[in-house]
Amino acid sequence: MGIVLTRIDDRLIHGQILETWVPFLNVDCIVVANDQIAENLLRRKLIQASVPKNIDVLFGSIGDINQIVGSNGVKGRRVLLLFKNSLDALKSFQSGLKFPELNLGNLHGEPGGARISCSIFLHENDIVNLTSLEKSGVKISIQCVPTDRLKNWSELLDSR
Amino acid sequence: MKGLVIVTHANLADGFLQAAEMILGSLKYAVAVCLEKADSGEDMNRKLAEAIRTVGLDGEGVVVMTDMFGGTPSNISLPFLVAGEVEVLTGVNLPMVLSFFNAQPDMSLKDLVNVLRKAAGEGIVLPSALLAG
Repeated sequence: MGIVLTRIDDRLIHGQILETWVPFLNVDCIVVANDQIAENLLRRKLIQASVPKNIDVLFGSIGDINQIVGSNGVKGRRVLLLFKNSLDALKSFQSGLKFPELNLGNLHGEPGGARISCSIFLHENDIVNLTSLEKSGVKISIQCVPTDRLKNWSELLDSR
Repeated sequence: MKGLVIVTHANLADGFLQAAEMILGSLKYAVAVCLEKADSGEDMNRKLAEAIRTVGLDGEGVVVMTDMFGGTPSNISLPFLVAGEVEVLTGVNLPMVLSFFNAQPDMSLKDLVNVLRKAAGEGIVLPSALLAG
């Protein structure tokens, strides 16, 4: 099957993911793309423990993620791909991991970001990164949980 | 005295302390940390660190109760785990909270959280099964 959702969520795997997106999209494999977590055994163990046994969780650094998603263990699964921030999403895309759509779920960053929605705050660098992805054909939308109305990110950016 | 921090999504934590006070009277060394959609990771860590520091002043240890394993309140609490000093227990319910305040004060932190875990579980009762059995 492949990637059913590519999402930026600075909370990574949490209630909204486990209780809404996973059942809604029948996700059976979550891939967490993050350099720090890929190297941190304790964090990986803790994250793994919070996920039901029937769902696989894989971790990879941004540099390895393309290979992980293309591997035999992941191809054909219903995959939720998670990034913590816009730069990681952009770098992965630029290294060859092509995703046609990107969901913005939770993105806070340092204080002072522009409030686009109740859980999305964008800084200049986020806008640059997301614009670059959009120019490469990625459809970017904002939706915390599946029952929220899907909103195009640039509409919300323009109207703030 | 040991300290209690309850950290949850939205105002659940406030609710638990209010409910416990209704039953037990005014409570000390207990703080609610309520996480909102707009909170950044930094905001949440700061709130939690402050709460643990406040209730842990006696140096006898802190129990952090969270609403759901795998949820953000639990995820941000786990890095604060320190054996013998800070314990985390998930799935907070009212019996768990009341059990904290009624526990023997000289119990070790480890023994305390085991008592709390048991009390929380025993608090989940299915009356119709009781009546049938």
